[in-house]
Amino acid sequence: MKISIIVSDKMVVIDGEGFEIDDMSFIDPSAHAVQWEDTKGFVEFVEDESGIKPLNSVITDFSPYQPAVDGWQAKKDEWEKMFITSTVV
Amino acid sequence: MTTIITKNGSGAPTSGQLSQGELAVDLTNKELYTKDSGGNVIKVGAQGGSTGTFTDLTATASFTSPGIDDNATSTQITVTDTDVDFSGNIDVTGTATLPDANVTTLDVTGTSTLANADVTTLTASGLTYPASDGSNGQAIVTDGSGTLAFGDILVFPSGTSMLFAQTTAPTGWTKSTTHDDKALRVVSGTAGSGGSVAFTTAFGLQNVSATTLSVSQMPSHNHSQYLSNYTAAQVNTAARQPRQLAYQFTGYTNSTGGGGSHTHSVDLSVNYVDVIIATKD
Repeated sequence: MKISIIVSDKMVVIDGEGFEIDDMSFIDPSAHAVQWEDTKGFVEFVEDESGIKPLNSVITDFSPYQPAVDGWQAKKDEWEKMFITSTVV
Repeated sequence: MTTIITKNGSGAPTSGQLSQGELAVDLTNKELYTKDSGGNVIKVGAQGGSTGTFTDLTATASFTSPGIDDNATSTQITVTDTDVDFSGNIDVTGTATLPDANVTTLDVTGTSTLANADVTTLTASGLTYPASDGSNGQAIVTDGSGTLAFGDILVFPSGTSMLFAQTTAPTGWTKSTTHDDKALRVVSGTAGSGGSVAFTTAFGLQNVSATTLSVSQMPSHNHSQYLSNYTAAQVNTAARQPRQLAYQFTGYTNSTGGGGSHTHSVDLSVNYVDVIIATKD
């Protein structure tokens, strides 16, 4: 499974399918994005006060970012439900 | 028959009072005189007295003396002339002991050898010299207060830090382990240190750290959308008015792009030489 989390966009992409989730507060605001593939990944950081983008940090535990997958799944469920039901306003 | 003239007065006899080879005894000063072939009155011996003064002691050939003795009275023998000149060698076959030698100036024009001089403390011109030899390669250094001693040649003061392209610090230096895996920076101000990334990490990069583009980092663009069929529902069914019908269409383009990161190649694996920092003991 390949997972991409773009923090500023609140975008979560899993295996090429992306959804914007509502809450991204579980991720440190210094993170720009999280990339994960199968068993390992890395965190990209935003530029610091000096305009320097710190080196990526390797991660081997995805559990801190599991809410992103949960949010992605919820949005996916909404999307699929929306496509099979007409909206009456 | 030679006549021996005995004088009771003091002082040397005159040349006219002696014939060659005759002896004259000065009983007052306890001195013995004779007259040489040149008509000169010469002193041939002196028993000494309470005090005595040599006006001249000249030997034109080899001169051997059993010693100069002050008759064991421990009275100081004083040379009042400003210089004592030796045109030849001074040979001491026994042990010369100078318990308290005070030499203002010692000039040696030839070779002076003290084969077995035993001097506990040698001080000259206010400088005290070491009493024993130093180690190989050492030199005489001063403490700045007149005392000389053998010591290492201190080209670098203690505490000096320098770089060495070798694993072990040289003798007399201690390897510093404060800094490791760092680069060098030349500054004109206060020397310090800083940074957070190890040398081998920064210069081991083969590409720029992977970067994921967010929407704000993408060029502005759009997507074509085709709506071929749709289902719309009438609203406000309780008060149906045809002109107030409203339709809401929600459409999405197909997803594209994987959201993955991208990299740029760069090779910072520059050639390097390892050095150590060592501090002078």
